Amino acid sequence: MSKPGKGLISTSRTETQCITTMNLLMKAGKKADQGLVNAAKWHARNLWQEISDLAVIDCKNMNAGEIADFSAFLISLSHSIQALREQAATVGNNDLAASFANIHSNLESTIGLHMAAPNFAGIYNQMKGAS
Amino acid sequence: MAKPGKGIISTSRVEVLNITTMNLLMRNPDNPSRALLSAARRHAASLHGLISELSALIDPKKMDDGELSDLVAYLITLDALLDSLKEQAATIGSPELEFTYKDAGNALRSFVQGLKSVDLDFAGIYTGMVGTVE
Repeated sequence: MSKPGKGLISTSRTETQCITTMNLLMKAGKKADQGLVNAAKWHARNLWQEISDLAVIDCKNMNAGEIADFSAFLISLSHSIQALREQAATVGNNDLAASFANIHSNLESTIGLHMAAPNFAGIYNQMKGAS
Repeated sequence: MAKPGKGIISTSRVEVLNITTMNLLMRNPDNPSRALLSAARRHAASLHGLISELSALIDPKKMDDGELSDLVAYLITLDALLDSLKEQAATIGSPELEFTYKDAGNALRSFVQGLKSVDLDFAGIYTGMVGTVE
């Protein structure tokens, strides 16, 4: 992997907390305790913030390998957030489902900002299979 | 996310190894791979060791409310995770792993109790997030 940059590292850490907590909530089902639900909300809040910070990553200073890493990270993250939203809906927590939907919108906006850089847009679109 | 501190970062990395390895063992719980079991024992011991070191790495008095909330959310998730890993260890029939995760959970809860007794700000945020009144 190329140098992922501080933004990706901190986002990945928070992502892991979200994934772990949502998996634990799924396992607990209706027996989930309030503490774990509140922890999930806090982790989701952090993820929203970390994704906002991704906007400051400067693709112009990245080589093709680094942009490919960044693109793959963003694609995985987008799918991961959608899965988290589905899990929140499955456990019947509308607040959390709305949070993850909001995080996904935030990510799409961030990707939209990076699309202004032609070197990013080319590699990202190719990886997504978009024309 | 606020600054989580070195302790949380290193623990989180080892957490992922424990989750991955235990999930792989759960794919064939009746005939677990010996190598995977050895790896799981190593990861579990590492996680236990890192949890035991948290008190030396984390000083809640230097944290603001946001950082304390991060710490509390992390501790709640980690506690539930250790319980889940312990259940997985029981499912694959490894009393040794089960004991390590149980002991790690006890160490974590002792750490939390210690923080609650020495730091009122931490105690308030922890109690608020857990949703219990003491």
